[in-house]
Amino acid sequence: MRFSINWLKEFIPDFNYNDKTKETLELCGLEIENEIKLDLSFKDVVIGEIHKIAPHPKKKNLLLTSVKILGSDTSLKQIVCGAHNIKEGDKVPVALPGSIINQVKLEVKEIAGIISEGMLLSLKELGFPEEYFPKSHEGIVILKDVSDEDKIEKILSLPDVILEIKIFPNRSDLLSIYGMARELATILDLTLSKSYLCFEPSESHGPVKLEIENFNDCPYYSASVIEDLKVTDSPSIIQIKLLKSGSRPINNLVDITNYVMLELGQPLHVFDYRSLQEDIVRVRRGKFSGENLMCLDNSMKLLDDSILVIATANESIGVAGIIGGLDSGMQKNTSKMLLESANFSPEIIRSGRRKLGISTDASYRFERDLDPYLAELARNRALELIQELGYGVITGTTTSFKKLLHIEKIINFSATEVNNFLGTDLTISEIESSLKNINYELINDNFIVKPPSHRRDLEIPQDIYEEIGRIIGYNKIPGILPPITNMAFTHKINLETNLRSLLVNLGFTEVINTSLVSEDEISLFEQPLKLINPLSKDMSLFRSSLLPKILTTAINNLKFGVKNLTIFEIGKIYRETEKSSLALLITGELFSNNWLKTNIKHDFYHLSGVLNRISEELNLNLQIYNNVPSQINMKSYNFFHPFCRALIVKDGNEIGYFGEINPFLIAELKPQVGKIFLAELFFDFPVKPDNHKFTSFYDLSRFPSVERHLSLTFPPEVNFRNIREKIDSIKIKYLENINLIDLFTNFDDENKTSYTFSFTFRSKENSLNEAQVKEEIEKIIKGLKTIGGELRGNI
Amino acid sequence: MIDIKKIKIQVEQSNTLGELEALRINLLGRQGVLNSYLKDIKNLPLDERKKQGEELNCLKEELECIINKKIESINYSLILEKLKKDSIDPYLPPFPINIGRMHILNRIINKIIQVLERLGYETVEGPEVETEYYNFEALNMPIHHPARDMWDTFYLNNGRLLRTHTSPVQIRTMESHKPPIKIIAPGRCFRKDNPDASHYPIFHQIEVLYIDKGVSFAHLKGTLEYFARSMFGREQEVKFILSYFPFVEPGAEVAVKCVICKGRGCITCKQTGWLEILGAGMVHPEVLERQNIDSKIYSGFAFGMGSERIAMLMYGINHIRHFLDNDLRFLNQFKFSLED
Repeated sequence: MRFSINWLKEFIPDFNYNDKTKETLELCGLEIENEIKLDLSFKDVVIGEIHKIAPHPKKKNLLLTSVKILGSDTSLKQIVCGAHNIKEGDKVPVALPGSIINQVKLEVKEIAGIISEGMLLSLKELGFPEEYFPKSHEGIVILKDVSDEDKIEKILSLPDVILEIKIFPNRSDLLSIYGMARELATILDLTLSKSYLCFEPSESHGPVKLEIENFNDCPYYSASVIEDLKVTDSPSIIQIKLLKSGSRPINNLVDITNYVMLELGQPLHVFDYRSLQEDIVRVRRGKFSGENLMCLDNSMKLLDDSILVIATANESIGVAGIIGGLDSGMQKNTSKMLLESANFSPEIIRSGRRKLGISTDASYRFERDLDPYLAELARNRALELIQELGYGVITGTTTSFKKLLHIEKIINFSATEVNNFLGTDLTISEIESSLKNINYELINDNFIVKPPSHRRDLEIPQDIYEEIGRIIGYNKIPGILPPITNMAFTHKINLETNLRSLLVNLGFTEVINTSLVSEDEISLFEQPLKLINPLSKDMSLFRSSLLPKILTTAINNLKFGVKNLTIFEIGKIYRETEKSSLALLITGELFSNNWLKTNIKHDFYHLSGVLNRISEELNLNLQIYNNVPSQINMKSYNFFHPFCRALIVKDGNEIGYFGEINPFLIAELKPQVGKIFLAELFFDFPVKPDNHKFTSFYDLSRFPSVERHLSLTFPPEVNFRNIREKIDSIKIKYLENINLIDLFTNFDDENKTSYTFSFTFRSKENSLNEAQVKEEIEKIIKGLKTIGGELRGNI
Repeated sequence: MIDIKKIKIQVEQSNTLGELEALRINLLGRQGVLNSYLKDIKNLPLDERKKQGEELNCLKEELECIINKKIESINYSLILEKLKKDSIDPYLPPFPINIGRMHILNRIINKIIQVLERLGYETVEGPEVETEYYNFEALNMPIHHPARDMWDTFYLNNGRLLRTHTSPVQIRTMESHKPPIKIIAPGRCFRKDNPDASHYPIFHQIEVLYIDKGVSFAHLKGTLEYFARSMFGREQEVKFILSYFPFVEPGAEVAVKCVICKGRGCITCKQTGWLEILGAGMVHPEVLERQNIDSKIYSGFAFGMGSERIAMLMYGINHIRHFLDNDLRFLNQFKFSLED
């Protein structure tokens, strides 16, 4: 909210805004978001009355005015003006030759062939920056209710500083000049020169018949009838205060409601009395079946029973606490009006505001739970102003409210409790001095606090401890490290952490991508979660796979000239439930180009090697299957090359897939992008790693190993998995390791494949002799022959 | 007699193994000079024979020694000659060895976890797709609470929402554990913020919660002082700026001396000398009571921070987009020995 320091000073004349007070305010939670300095940037500006307006003889869009300067001789000044919001008789600020505007001395000027003996001024020229006061820059300032003696700097109340202060949602009492002044007086220990006290309201009966459906929605309502209205513009002094607060002057009566809202924090509303049928005001929920209302912002709204409305005999005339109806709004010729000052429940205002999508200064305040006593105070203040300024005659007021409008809270605590909570050694008198602006009683060392009705935030002892803490200063409380209890030295490292460091050890670089993706990107993957209110189309879905974004990452880097990528990402995805996922991506070669011409091309087998390493190191028991997927969506599987992909299986469940990217998907990017290999694995949430198996040491054999190579051919229908499973099924003694060291496909006319294995044997008891090894090799050959193997060589 | 000097010169002058072999045969071979002298000895008287025999043996040993030494030296030169073919130019570019790297954001998160684990905090996680209950209601923000506006929330078509902070993990932990509770909860959060240099709809937070008997505001302050010093240097100070979060009371924003200018005032700290790095406070009794923790016996504190903000401050990163852009030129700037 914007606070004019000059306006605040009407309540706290001793307020001195400087770096020190600014810091105190900030430490107490009043964050100053912006500071608009309004300097006195002009000198010798006078007030003139427009005597006559004529078109400029040469230039169409200019006006020629003759202006009488107030308090000077009767001679008229001829002034050329570009703005058209003036009429004869208007009083305006005038800069005559010799005066200073924006540090520049004004001289007599010829404008399009006509001498201009001065300048009529707008707010911008008087030092109100347009970016902060956009609503107020519509031409020349028309002064209202000014006398010959008035000084323009006094009317504009310059110099001034406007503070934009962030107000926490629990401090509705700070949403006004008076409320802020009261707070500053407490924090800075200043005297309030004028105070408004709230009292319990009293019922009254006026011309209006008031029907309140439910006091929980509307705990207080007051309807005043005012007749013999004179609708005009507000005095300049009021207009300027509104403008400085960011509110736009409309007419004297609407302005009064805004003025009182800014001053005291209570939103008020005025209705043209002609819209009232049978003198009835009903505060009720919208009709269950819905009803339409054309609102003041020219939008048609459907009101239902989750919205509180102000209605008359047959129809609604406004949305309670949010916005009025257009037809019941004040007109130029309105002669009788209804002034509403009410308290509405924050819940009903918030629900209506959200449903209608209209947020106003009034709804903002009501949502933050206003002091229920404030409505009567504000009504009295508004009526007083109307009477004082002679805007109309008050006929009567009808007031109705809930019994026990405000239940006084009683908060009990002891000095010991304060000190235990804050970790301090405050004496009772220190605590007392920090509570001097809150009603309290002290019985022995027990405090009994009765917070005032405007402090809606003070409910429990902790709220008071905060109050004590901030008045004393949080920075004066000592810092104490708590005793180190709960020594959780088990140091549980979850699967994610393990995977991350393992992959880094394997030379992978970690990337982190957004979780929000576009429809196009994720279309191949399982139905993602949709955002109801996305920020943009590109970020409208919660990812169901990491692959689309890691691919984008790769492509972006490749486009930037990177040739080799070895990257991974670990993150959360959503597939029926939230899961952790790991994505791997490799492309190009293992090493960057080098003069040694040493390199390894990234391929499918490299990626399966990484998966195998993960499986072994983390004891995950992953298997690779070349089946048609059953659990994983086939559409997702088509992300991969139809002949270069495989499933990752764990304990019989398909938990991921990998392979070369389907070349069709990156066809347009050719030839910039080579083959890209990706893998994705899903882990159920929360991660339950199987890798806590105790690893135990085994003793090493001291005897030499024996290595034998064996080459066999197999018919094309036998794949490596068949061979491997066969070998695994044979009981081979002393076998330490098997390696496939050579492979030929299409070996002969029958399209057989030749595999060369290296078998390593070792015994723990002795050096193996030829006969022992031969026996094992024979077993292997015999076994492999049963699945179509033919021996080529045995070395 | 044999002229040993002359022979030495002959040996010295031989450059090949062949020449030396010829010389050796000539001197020491069966038909060699030395043998011919030995044959002659037989005819000498016994004394003389003994004496000359000894002399000739010495001579033989000396000659063998000279020749062998020379052979060795030639062999060495020959090997050296061969090794020369392996000679390298140490100034040539070295082989491009690879290294893996963790993302800087996760390194920062790990560092924060390490610092707090020393105090006995345990790392836990919670879901990103959350319910209204955990994200708001249980945190003392019932349905129409105006504070809900402090967090612009993304809602999902399955009736859930994307968590706007890691604070729901507090509730989930209180549900499943009895006090004392001492946890760190890192994780991804979402807010419907328009992106700028320091905001992005997707960001990461770290939440810390400590509930036990007799936990005071001074304990919160002491913990934050320890944390700030561990992260930003021994001399760090912390400053509390009163703030409001519905799930703590009192609540504060915590600032540290600007790490860029050391408090003198710069662009990063907007000339204030201080940087707000986290939100903190004493757990609101309402939050405890809702989870059946007796707020008369137990109290606690919580604080939470944005990982991106901490990383940006520590390394002077000027725009939040770098974290999710994954430009390798950015990721590779953070070397292995980074002080983190």
